[in-house]
Formats: sequence, structure tokens, C-alpha cells
Amino acid sequence: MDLVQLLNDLTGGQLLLWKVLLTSAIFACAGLQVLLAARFYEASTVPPISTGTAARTHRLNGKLTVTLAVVVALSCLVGPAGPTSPTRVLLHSVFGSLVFGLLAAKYTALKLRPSWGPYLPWIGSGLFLTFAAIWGTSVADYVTAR
Amino acid sequence: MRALRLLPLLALTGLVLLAAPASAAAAGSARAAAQAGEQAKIVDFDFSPGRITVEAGTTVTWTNTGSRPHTATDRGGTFDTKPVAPRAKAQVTLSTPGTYFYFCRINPAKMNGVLVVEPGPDEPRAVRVQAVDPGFVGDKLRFDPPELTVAAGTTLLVANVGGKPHTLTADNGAFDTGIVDPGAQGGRFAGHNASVTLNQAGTFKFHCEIHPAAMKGTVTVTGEAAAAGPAAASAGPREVDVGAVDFGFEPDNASVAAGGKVTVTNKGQAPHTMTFDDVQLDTGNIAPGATADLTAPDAPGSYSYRCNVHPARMRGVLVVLGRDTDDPNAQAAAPPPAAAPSAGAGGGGPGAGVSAFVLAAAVVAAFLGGIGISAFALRRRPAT
Repeated sequence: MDLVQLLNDLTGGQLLLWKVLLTSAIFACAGLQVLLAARFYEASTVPPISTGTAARTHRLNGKLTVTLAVVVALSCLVGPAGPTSPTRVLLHSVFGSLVFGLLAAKYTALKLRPSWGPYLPWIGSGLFLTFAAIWGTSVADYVTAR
Repeated sequence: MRALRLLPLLALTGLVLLAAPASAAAAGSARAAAQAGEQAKIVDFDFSPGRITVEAGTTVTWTNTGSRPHTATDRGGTFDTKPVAPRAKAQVTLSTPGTYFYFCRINPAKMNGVLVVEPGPDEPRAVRVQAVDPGFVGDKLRFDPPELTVAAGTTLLVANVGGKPHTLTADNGAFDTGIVDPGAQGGRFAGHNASVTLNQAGTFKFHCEIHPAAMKGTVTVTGEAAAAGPAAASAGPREVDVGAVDFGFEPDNASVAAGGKVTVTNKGQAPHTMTFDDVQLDTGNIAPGATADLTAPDAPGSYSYRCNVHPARMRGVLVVLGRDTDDPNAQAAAPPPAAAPSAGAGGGGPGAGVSAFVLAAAVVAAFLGGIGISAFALRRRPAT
């Protein structure tokens, strides 16, 4: 089975467009994640919800974000890349790898190394900034190249 | 909730299972493509073999067996593979006979090769002449070849592969390319090219206006003289069809008259574009099965283009063969140079419609993330 063909069939021949939309959605979700984390760490009163609700929403939104990120990342690996320059692709690949490294660090802190807990806000902020860099080296490039 | 927790893992597993045969299929098609044409290697830091001779229309495949990215780039500016990653391949098909000095533009001092394209069974519509100088290649001032015989109506594609400006000018003024600029940094990088079309039969001596003593040559034009008219009358078709397949252009070295119509048909399964490197011509995304039209540049020359979706694999050259002044209606009927894809392409590029969403998402993300990070940074820690 040709995955590129499947993805193009699923997206009506607009695979890149869908990647752009999903990447932007992932970026927005990443921003929401940081905000929700700040709420349940009681570092912020925004959004005005309980810390328990913020934590549950954070977990749900995190799973959605990671799922979308995995789908987009794999379509990047097997499918067509967008408007490109070698430097952009290099940076995009570095940030794309880094985001999964940071996710691994986060799950390690949550499940295996509770003593790393104080570093979670830093890891989360790093994740958001890395998603921003990924967005900047793909979607922004795609749009400005048109 | 437990099922949700497993969602990323399930997505990952499913896509990996789907990806494996896809990768195998891609590798298989690459192998099939590589079986045709001339094979050559790129190593760290050389081309092997350093000199390739092929017949016009042959596809040359370079495989990068080194550990660093390299390019195969014409010093005369007609083709450029863009960086080829280690273990990746790049293909170029040239239909214009002549000698091509090419190099790696990442390692221009170390990596140089020669590609000789010999005429095929068909009479060539264009022939390449190189203007060579001591510039970067350490040669002497000369035209390559200095003497040639062509049929009436043939276009001379004059490529400056040196480090100084040159012209190719008939001694009797019958034709003149004007100044053809060299590559940047004294020819360290790819130079430019220009063309003249020879319609009058006869023997013409030519020279470089800037180096008239050293750079001379003779061209013999055979056959019936063309009807009286401008020397730059086109030898190319007014319309040309180019197919975009997964993943290449067919043909990838089409010729067309200046201002002619180029129709691009996406015959593949993936979206493709025809986007020119040096001029503002772009079809935008062409959906599978759709077509898009472009108007060729008015200035004769070789114009390299790529698919913006698959720039590493899909490249081509459009050879513009002089303005055709016989039928002004052809140009009037053609769309403007920056023509959008035709209706079949699904209307407008997706970039236009998606920009607002992208911008909104970025603003929302930056706002939310910024607040969150600021909250962490500014929060009061409980007294211990």
C-alpha cells in the first residue's frame, strides 16, 4: 500500500494543506497546554476553572496533541515535504526530533522519575517553544512561499 | 479514558505498519527509475566518473554515495539538482547537445565534472556553446566548441561557465547574445546563459565583444534560409505540454517559443507545482488530474524549475527559443505570466485560504503559551 497515495486520497489531493491546518491546530493546543498547566500548578487564575478540571483537560488535550503530532510527523517522514530550502528542512527536522525527545523526558518525569517533577514546567515550556519552532519552519514557510 | 491514553500509541503503530510497504514501494520505484539512463556517483568530494558522455535525451542519475550532501549544478545555469542527501539520487535529462561543465555548489572548489551531450537521431533544435575563461575553472579564453555546424532555425544556447562576462557576437552583426554574466565570486558559482536563433544559411564568424582577440569561432548554418524576418524568430512550438508525475516532469527539458503557453498536467497521485527558480512563474498547487497554464518568459534562455511539493526529486528546465512574432494572437490569448491554476486545479492556491486560519492559530497559541509561561515565571513561591 502506498501511504502517500492513501494520504492524498484521504485529503482530496490537498495533503500539504491538511498538514498546515493540523500543525497550526497542534501549535494552538500546545499553547493551551501551557495555560492549563499554569492553572493547575496555581501559577495562574486563568482560565477560571478548578485545578482538577484544568488537570483533566490538560491530559485530554495532551493526548489529542500528541496523536496529531504523531500523524503529522509520520506523514512528513513518508510523504511530500512542503516548499523548502535545505536549511529550513534541517531546522525543521532538528525541532521535530527534539519535540519527541522532550515528550520522552516529560513521560519519564511523570512515570519513572517523580523527583524530576520540579522540571516539568520547564519541559512543558520547552515543548511549547519547540512546537512554535516547528510551526515557524513549516507552516509559516508554506504560507509565505505562496 | 484508558482507550484515550492508548490513542497515540495506536496511531503510531497503525501508521508505521502502513509506512513500511509505502517505503518499500518508493524504494522500488526509485530502483526502476535508476535502471534507465546513465548512472554516475557523487563521492566525498568528487564526481565519479568525472566525465560522462551521453546521447541527447538520456537521463543521467547521480547517486550520492558520500556522507555529505552535494549537488550537480551546471556552471552555465541550466540545471541544478539542489542538495542531494547521502544515499539519495538526483536525475537530469538534457536534450540540448553540447558540453556541460558542472560542479557541486556546496564544494565548488573541489568537485567539478564534465557532461558531454551528443546529438541524438533527431536534428537538435538547440545546441549549447560554452564561453570558457581562466576564471574559476583554470581554463583559457575560448568558445567550446569553437566551430560548429547547425541546421537553419537552430538556437545557440550560450552558457557562461567562466568568471568573466562574455558575448557571442557575429562578426557581421547578424546575431548577438548581449553580455552574458558570469557566476558570482568570479565564476565560483553558476553563471548565466543566453540564446540566439540562426535562421539564415551561411558561414558566420563570431567573437566575444569583451575578449575579441582570444575568443573566436565559426558557425555554419545549413539548409534553406528562413523567410526574411527578425533573427530571433522562434524555433520552438507556441504551446507545449508538460506532465507532472510521481515524481518527475515529462519531459523535463521542454522547448517553447518565447511567450508561448506551457500546460502542466498533474498525472500523478500527489499534488505538484511548476515553480521557476529565477523568474516569478508558479502554477501553485495542481491537484491530481488537474491542469494549469503558464506563459513562458519573453527572454530566450534556459529556465530551471521545480515542484515546490517535491523539490528534491522533481526538477526540470524550460528552454525558451526566441520570440515568435508570426502570430501575435497566440500571446494575446495566453494568460499572464503569474497565471493561477485553471479551474481544474481546484481554484486558487490553498495558501490563500489557509492564511487567516494559520495566523489566528499562531496568535492564539502565542497568547496562551505566553500567558502560561509568564505565570510560571512570575508565580510566588510559598515561604518555607
